[in-house]
Amino acid sequence: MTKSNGRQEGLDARCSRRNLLKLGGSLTALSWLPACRRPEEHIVPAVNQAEYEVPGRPLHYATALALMGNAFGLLVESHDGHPTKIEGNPKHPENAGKTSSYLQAQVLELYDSERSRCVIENGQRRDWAAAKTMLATLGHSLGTVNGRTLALVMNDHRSPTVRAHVKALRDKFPEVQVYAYDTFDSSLTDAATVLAFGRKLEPIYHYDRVGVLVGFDADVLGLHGDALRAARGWASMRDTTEGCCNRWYMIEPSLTVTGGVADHRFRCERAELASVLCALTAVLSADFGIILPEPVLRAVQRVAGGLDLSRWSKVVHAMASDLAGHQGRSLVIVGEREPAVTQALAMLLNHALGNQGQTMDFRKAFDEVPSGSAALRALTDGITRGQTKQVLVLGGNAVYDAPGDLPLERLLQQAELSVHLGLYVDETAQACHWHIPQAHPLESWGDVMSRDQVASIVQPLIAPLFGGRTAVDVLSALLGNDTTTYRAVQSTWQSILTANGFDAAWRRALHQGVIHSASDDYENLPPRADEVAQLLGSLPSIENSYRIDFAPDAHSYDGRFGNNRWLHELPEPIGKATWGNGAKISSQLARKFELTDGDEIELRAAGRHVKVPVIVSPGQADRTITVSLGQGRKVGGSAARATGTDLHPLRTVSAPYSIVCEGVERAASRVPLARTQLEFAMHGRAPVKAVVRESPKQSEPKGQRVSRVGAGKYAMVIDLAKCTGCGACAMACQAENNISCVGESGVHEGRHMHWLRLDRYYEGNDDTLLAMTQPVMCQQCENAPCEAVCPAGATAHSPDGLSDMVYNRCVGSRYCANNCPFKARRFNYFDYWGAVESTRRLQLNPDVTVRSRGVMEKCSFCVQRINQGKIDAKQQGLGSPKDGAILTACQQACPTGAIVFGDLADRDSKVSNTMKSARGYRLLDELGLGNRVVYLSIIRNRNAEVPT
Amino acid sequence: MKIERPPAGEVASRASPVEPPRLLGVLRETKAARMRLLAALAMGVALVSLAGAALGYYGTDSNIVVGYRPKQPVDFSHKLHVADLGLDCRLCHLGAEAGANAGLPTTQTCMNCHSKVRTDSVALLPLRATYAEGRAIPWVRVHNLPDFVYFDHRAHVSAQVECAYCHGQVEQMVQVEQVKPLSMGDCIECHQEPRKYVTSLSQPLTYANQNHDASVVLKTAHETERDISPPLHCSGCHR
Repeated sequence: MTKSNGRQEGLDARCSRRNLLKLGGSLTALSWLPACRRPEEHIVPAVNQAEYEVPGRPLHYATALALMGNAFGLLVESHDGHPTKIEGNPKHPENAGKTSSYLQAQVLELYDSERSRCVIENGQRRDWAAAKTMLATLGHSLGTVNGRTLALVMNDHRSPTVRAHVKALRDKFPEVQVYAYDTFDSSLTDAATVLAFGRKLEPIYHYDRVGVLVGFDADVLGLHGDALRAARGWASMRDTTEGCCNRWYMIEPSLTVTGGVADHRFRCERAELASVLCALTAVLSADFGIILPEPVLRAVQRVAGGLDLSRWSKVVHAMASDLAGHQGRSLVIVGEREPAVTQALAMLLNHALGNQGQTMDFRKAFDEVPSGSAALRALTDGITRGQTKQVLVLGGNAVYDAPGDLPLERLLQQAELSVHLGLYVDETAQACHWHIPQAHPLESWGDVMSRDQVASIVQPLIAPLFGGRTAVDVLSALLGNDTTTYRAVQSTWQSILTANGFDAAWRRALHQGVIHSASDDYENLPPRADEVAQLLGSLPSIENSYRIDFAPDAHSYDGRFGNNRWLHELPEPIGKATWGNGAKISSQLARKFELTDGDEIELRAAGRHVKVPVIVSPGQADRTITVSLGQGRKVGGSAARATGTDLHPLRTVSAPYSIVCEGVERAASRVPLARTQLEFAMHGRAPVKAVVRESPKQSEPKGQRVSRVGAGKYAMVIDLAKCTGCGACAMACQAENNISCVGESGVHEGRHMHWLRLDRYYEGNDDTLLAMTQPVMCQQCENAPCEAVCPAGATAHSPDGLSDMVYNRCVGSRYCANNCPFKARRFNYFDYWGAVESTRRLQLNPDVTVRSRGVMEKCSFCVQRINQGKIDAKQQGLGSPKDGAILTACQQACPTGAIVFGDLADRDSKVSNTMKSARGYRLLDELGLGNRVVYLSIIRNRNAEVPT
Repeated sequence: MKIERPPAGEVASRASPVEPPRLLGVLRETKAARMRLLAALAMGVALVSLAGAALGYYGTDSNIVVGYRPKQPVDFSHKLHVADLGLDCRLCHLGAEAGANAGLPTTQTCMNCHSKVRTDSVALLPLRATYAEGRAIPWVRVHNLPDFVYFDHRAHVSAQVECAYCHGQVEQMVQVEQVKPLSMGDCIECHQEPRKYVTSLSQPLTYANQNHDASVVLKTAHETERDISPPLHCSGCHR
């Protein structure tokens, strides 16, 4: 043995310590060995075989859902009897197989364990039998007063069966008062049609026929009942392979999804919108010979007079010339929150431009029930006068979302009897004497009718989880009928479904998801100008005060999705804020009050005040402060209570969507919003490219074609010219791939888990600001930098060209995420599923691993769907799946069809052809990674006449 | 090993360098102590290797799960039903051809026959009782793959892999037991050379015919035209 120095001896000593530890460890392991028994697991097959059920294969059921004053057809994926994922029903003309983020998130709402679970009478737990007795007694007592003392408040009223039941109720008790109330409904549009046509009508827009559209704060691609139809129509006219391109102008106070993707967007004060529309009307009449009635022209000229001509004259002239050049192929559309008279003027203008009957039609209104905040005022007046003694609130949360000047909570408590039917024990449930849990649309029978009057049967995917009841159940109990909702829906359609006998027709309607397609019997009446002219004359002139503008909330819409964690964590399309809301202010206002994002301001209106954090928003009008309604709930689920600010108190019945601000003050506090993106400038690196098209003849813009990637098969092309940034893809991805929510603090720390994010950048200055959105997911690089650095071999390339992620091998070094230039990888810092309750787990997709703590994850191109497609193809004897047989979740949801996925080995596949476009480029192509995701640049179809 | 001398200033700044106390440090003094240390080390290494070998051999799936034969709530004999009576696997495991999971039969499937056959059997008491009460039978799972493995029966059956290749001769079992470890090695073995294990298309799958024996089932399929390309990449089974 050599003489060792101290250092070597030290080494020896360390070795032996390690050996001792090893020995100890091994002995411990050995001592466990005899205890190695498999834990006993059970397989519990059903007692009776379910129809069509094959173990391990999902079934799809057609159903439908009413939302935002419209109805959408759904295909719901069900695994072993529980629904897991919502897709659009391709047979339904309203959404044609596509979905929005709200529709996707419905399945999470179904499993929300905080939903109401039992009947409650004044805080005491009761059962449905007790509620039924109470309703029957109420029904008996109404007979003597002809129903005068009863008021009914409905929500999202699109069901023919409910309508029939309300009619039956009115036949029995003629003086029952029926109201419909939603925070954001079409009551002002209804009023506009009454002004213009003398009757309540529903406008149907054919966006796919519109060459030139001028919108006035009309966010039709965003939070709007028409959004899916509009997105489809808009995108169909932006398909450059078709050789044509539409041009959308947006005039709005706050940047919206629609404004962001428009070809021209003009910032405009809320109070000025009417003046710009009037100026447009005046120019169309004076310079382009569009004939409008004389009294209207006089009124229009007066209102337009207040406009700043230096800014608007050229813009208005350019729009007018474009509209006049596209008569019968254009559309002027005014947002549903604008005053009725402005909307009515747009209807007059569309008629004069020959658009009525071409790009827009009118349909008979679904129901004549009074709606909007005026209806709610009638209700409260009735209770105050003592005429209304019993109130039945069928769905919704009117106490929370009523305008601030209606003391609905107190009045419902004061009434002799108030009954609430709702999904949650919310503000209204607390104010009412009785609360009945409502069945979710995915767990109840029903029917809905879309705006275009396409009817669908709603069929349950699962029995009510928490014993919910439907509005039809409540109305039947009131009428003393003992029918189920199922029988009631059947009897509604008994006389219509007659082909080959009712049973066959009923089964067919259930299978198809639509009863009949849209008919052509439109109610296109000639408009009347007198009342419009008269009301235009009384429009107030442009004021110089600040205005508060109330918009729907991207997360919770009007508050109804307040407890939906998916929606809270899906970044709002423009400001990218999650978990909360804020007041959007212009940079000028921010400078004036020395505010930065997250500083709180106190807004005063209608004698009340609310403190809210600000979001300094480019493109925001200087004197318009836009706030979203639907957050800051006080009662309801835990997520609903934890987030945001309630701005309903600032609204009034007469100014439900926009009110003069009585004061803005800087508060001392700060509430930073959790945002997923904080930098919105591209710093000259152009991850999103845009091409400008000014000549109508120029079809495909010139550019460098992307080279093909290696031998692998699958690739994706995302046409940014069709991406609105709505977020449906991100939500579909979350639902499909079991992506966890991290909560507000997690987002603050940058730990959000979305595999697919939507990056958003701005283009232009404040006055003409446009948005550019880019969905970014794992780019499935051919030379993936993440794979080279994984110490565990947990990410590797497949012969299909996918960068596979193997969770069970991942040790959580996070090297891959550090080496990913796209930040496409997400890390599970915690066991996000550990605390998730059992009902919520029913939503999980059984085909995708639920990741545990310490594991990296990322977009897999929905490899579970690819594998299924391959197995299907093999079983059918095909070599490889047919083009279009495999859809990724994002692709399937995308309302505009901007995402194309497929096999590059197939030279005729859609993805191969789309990739040939001259607009194609790869993200960070200079790195030579061979991304399998190719983007096609945005097209701006600019009008050369518009000054820049 | 050469140790670089630290710069003078650094040495000066250090107080008298004290050797940190080490485990077994005292034994350094004598040669005998060093020998004892070496012996202990050698013994330690030997023990560890032995333990490792034992763990490696006995701790693997082939020793832990092979032979797993749990008691089932109803004494169902595959031997009686398949070998003696000649029933087809797919009669009860109807997902084997069409779905990812072969699945177990519903009680209703059992009762299709047993409402007429052997209605007074004592062994079938739990079956009749649960069916009458509408309770499901908690069968004990025998073949269990980890949750991160997505095995699809449909893909394998349509590629003509015999049930017996993974499950053994179930038709001979009174009580079902696991015969293969069903480890990743088992999967890869077949996925690398699938032609050794799939049955010819001209020869229908036997679905546990009582007359077959493994050598017939697993014979090489001489069909060059067949596209058998089982995945060997990660996402083929893990996703």
